[in-house]
Amino acid sequence: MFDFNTIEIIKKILKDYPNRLVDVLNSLGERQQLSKEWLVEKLNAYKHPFRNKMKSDSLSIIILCSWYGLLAYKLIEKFNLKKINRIHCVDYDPKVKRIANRLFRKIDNENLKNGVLTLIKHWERDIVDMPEKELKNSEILINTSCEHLNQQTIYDIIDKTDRGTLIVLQSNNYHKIQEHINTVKDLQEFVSQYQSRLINIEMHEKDFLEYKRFMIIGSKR
Amino acid sequence: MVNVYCVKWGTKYDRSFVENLKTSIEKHFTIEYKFNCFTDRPEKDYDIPITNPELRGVWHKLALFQFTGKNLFFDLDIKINDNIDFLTDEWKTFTCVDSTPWKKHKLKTLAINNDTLINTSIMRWTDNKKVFDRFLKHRDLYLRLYTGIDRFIWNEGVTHTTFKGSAISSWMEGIENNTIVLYNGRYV
Repeated sequence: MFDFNTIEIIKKILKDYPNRLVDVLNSLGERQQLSKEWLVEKLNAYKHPFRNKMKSDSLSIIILCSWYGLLAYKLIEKFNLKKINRIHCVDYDPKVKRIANRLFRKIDNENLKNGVLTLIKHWERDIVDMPEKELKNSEILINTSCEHLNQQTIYDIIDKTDRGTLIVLQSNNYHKIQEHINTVKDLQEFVSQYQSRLINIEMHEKDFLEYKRFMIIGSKR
Repeated sequence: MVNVYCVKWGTKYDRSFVENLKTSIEKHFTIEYKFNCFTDRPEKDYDIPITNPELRGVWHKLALFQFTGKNLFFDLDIKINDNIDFLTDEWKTFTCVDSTPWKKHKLKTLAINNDTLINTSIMRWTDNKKVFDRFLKHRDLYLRLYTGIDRFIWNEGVTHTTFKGSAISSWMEGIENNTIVLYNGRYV
């Protein structure tokens, strides 16, 4: 009936990081799972040649504002365009790495046993401090939290990436949340923010009743 | 000179709450002071416009930390019944209210709820600028983790002390005739 491994993990988080338990559960909630699975599904369907940057048959991905790293594991599980060599999860929360290790240790071990060698690296730093070299060495840049970020910050990061880098962005129109300082009215407004920086843009929208989540996938000009 | 602040943001409290507080302080505070209302709708000569319009509600209380000097803050939902000069007895450490008396029953669930044993209905500080700068730097994380500034201050280890003595009570203790009574959580 219940997954005992998950219960054990929750008990460990409760013991070691009691004041983060609610936040951890929120990060793994149904809407989070759906949004992340939706992203991987659409990314798999996006036609991208990767020809500008691919030096090997595997690629590197950067996830900005990655929270505890759920998306990284969804990508390992379901992304099927290429092998993933490395995923950088960037989040300035000084506890994410330790908590993510607790959460995903068993999955990491199982992946290793099954020959999945993707390296997940947590960077506990502000996204504006992300070294340009790392951005240039990555084939995919993902940010599912545009609504939380100053628009100029997002532009600055995209501007540091190489031409041809695949950019995946999500935002929403959930204006009433205090942390949401950069929501958009609709998908069209979201797309218009990036038309000068991206080409071959695909647009997607998902209805969550109280709000809509928007996603664009495009190639850096 | 002491700077006395309150915050009026949004429509939760109407102007009469500010005027009542101002009148109470005039009556019960004998030390030289200047009354200021930090607000998103300035209309009176004592009003100061908010400085961080991206913030909502109680978080503007934290924005007051950008002001240095001898500062006192009062929530609008308090009642002052007697002399409050004791609030200026000491200025060394950032000071707020001890909420243990009305939160004893929550001790076991304090951590899991990111709860707190302090209350910021009344605050005293001279220089807390670093605290506000720190909040602004990682605002998104703190807004996600904490529902108010009391919880932020407590859980993020901000250096603080609490007012000594028993002249401050909360209506939650069933006491309504003390020198200062907090009506925290009564108006929602």
